[in-house]
Amino acid sequence: MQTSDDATTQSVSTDHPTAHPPEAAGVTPEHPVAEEHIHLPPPSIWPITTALGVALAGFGLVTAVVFSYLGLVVMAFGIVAWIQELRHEPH
Amino acid sequence: MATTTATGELHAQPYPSTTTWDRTLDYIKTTDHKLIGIYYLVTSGVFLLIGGLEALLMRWQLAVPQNHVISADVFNQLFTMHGVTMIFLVIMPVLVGFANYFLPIQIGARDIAFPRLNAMSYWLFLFGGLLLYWSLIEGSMPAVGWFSYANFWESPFTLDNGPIFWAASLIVLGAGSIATALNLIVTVIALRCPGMTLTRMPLFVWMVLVNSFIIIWAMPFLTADAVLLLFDKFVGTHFFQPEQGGNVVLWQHIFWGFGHPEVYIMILPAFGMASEIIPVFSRKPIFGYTFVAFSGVAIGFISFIVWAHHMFTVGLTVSEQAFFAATSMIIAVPTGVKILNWLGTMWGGSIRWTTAMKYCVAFIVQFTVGGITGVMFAIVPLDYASTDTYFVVAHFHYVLGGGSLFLILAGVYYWFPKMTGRMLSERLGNISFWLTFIGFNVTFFPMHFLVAMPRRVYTYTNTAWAPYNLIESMGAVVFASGVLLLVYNVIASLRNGKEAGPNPWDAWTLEWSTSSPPPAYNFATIPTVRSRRPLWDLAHPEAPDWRFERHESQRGAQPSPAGRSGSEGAVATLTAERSTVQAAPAQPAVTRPRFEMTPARMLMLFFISSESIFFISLIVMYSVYAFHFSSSQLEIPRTFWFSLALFSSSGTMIVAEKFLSAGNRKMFNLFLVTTIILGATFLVGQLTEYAKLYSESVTISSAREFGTTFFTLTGFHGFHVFVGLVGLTGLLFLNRDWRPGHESPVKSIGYYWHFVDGVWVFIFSIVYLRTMF
Repeated sequence: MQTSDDATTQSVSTDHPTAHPPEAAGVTPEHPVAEEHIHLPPPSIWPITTALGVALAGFGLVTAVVFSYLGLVVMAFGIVAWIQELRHEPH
Repeated sequence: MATTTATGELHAQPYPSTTTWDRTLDYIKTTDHKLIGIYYLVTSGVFLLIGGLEALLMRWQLAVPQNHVISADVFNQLFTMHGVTMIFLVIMPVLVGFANYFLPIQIGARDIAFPRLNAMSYWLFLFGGLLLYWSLIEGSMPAVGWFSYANFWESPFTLDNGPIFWAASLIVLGAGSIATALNLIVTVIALRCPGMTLTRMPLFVWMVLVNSFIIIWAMPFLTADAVLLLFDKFVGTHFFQPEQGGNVVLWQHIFWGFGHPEVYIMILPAFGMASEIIPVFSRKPIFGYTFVAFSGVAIGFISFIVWAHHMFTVGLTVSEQAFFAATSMIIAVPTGVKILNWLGTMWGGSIRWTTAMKYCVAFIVQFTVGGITGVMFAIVPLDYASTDTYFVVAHFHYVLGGGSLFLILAGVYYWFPKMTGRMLSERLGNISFWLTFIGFNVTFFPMHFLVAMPRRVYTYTNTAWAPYNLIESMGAVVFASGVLLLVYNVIASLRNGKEAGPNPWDAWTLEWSTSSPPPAYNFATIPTVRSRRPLWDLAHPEAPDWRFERHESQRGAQPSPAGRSGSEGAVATLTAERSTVQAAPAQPAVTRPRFEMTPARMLMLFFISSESIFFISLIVMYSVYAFHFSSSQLEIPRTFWFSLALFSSSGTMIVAEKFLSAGNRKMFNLFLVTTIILGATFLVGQLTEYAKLYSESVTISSAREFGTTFFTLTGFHGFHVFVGLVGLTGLLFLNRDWRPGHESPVKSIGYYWHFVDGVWVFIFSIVYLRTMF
């Protein structure tokens, strides 16, 4: 996964969106420029977990209420794990 | 960051996943706004086929009079599901998908503001859609219309789970939409690249921004309605049961309070797409940029005060009718302004008849037809005569089908090359366009003549309607074949479409400066823009837009600067180039937008504004019923004391924040704990009050509405206090080792806490203090 450590940046000196052939943008990694690191958040399983919890809570209303409780637990678990991930993410 | 090309191969990924499971997991865990945008488009494409199939089944049934291939019950389910699917699972998410993919790129950002939240929104959409369609498996699809009027879904009328499926899935979908809208708003405000001022944003971005505000302020009405539905079904309240003091019309007011803004939610981003596509294929800048942007803002505001035109036949007072008739006519003005802008853009341009452009032109024609019939409904007596007839069906299909859907198809042809790196076949596109154009009009135009035929009837006996219906049904088949051809075109072009290259249309906005598809991080170097058409500037250094912008833009129309070069131009270019190299940041034109507010706090504030709408719905609900009852059971002095605890907790929270910013961790903790104790005191006070009322047999299901509305309103507030307390308690434990460099969530949670306290000021005044007078 691409984090700031292995992010590719390009040493293109430009004020314009592309002063170089646009196909080259990002496809050919060059040496990273010192100060500009591209930081993208790592993939995370917790958004889908949280969403699943919410949907399960709704699902329980139309099936068996146990699904609703399960959904709330899954949702809470997802949120807590999500926050933990945010806290321990390298800056 | 895992990202994919159209063919599904992963690139830009340092540690490639090898097994299928790992690769699937990568797709599930992705936070890439572009991949999620594609998820939205593909998912809603599938729902489009399902919703279209439902429509075809209805047309099959209606093709001839007294047809019985489909029972009345199934027909009810079909038109309900067709409406809900097309609105919530097709048009809204498709537009969100385009916004997801292109909005960050168009404003020169590497990502959306909250990528994980964005991923959650998508999954909420998918699961919400699946939840709705689970009703098919259960055999109890909602059958009471997409607006689920209360008298239809209340227990005596509907006994199955259909309305519950409707409510549960719409709450899930609504949560997802609000999260996305908040995300997009913060992205636009906080992540624009240097030089991307508000007046230089692409119009698609403008319209999505306006749209996102409509979503966060309109969706809570729907959520409130759906929650109250669930309360009526499960908790035993009777908000909408007249025999228990409830009011069915109130459902309509709250529903359409959401429902009419929703109409604009479905069209505004599409307007934005038209405003991107038409200039590119007319080879002219948009005519009247400022007018397009600000008429969008005007529509956004006015859309909130037209709702009751859906309810003229309910029986409104004359002054109410006059007001809503007037606003409904007024909202047509900014919409008409846009039509003029698009025509003005095409006027004198050298038009390229690509498929995308054809769809845009068809849109202008069809949307105008739908708009004209729309204004007709603002004439109240005409509305009386035509309400619930096929004339209405014709109207909104011309607006949403001929309007939104046609622009969505235009957007598919326009942006497909960017998303996949391949061109869609223009030959197939042309055939597909004519099939959809002819099919659409043959299907829906005859409906204008069926002004006597009621909507939502599963069959009819009047043979005079038969030829129209038969023609419509045949048109529907042609329409469907056009859509299927597009599906084939997409699949075929993914395999062996022509290579697109970065900018196949010679367009001017930033997304076309990246490769097709763009890399995971969009831009290797964050671009700097100086005008509305950065790629024009790049291609025409002799006459860049920004040279003319300062003088021309405020007047709206931007004449094409081509041919204005010459010696003066050359000098200007030289000066400009020197300044870009040496002192770019010093130029006022390229200062980066700066905000004191961090994105997280901004998110919280907008979220709070959305929550306020939810509370406003509940307070309105309470106030409407408050006429009926005397609330002598309420003990105001006691409530006052525990209210005071809540109000003072806001003060202690402020003190706590002050200590934190002064670096005094110990005093911060002390005051935070005080805040929590005060908040908990309030909750305990509220619970004892509930216990007392219950002992006097005032319950949430007691008749005449006091219990119902009192417990719902104060209970929801109590729930928010509880959530706030969970947040504050979390701070107590988490803030200790919150890493430096990460924004501490103290401020955001503080905002939420103040909001919860502030809401209680209103509730306390309306529920308690009011009874003293």
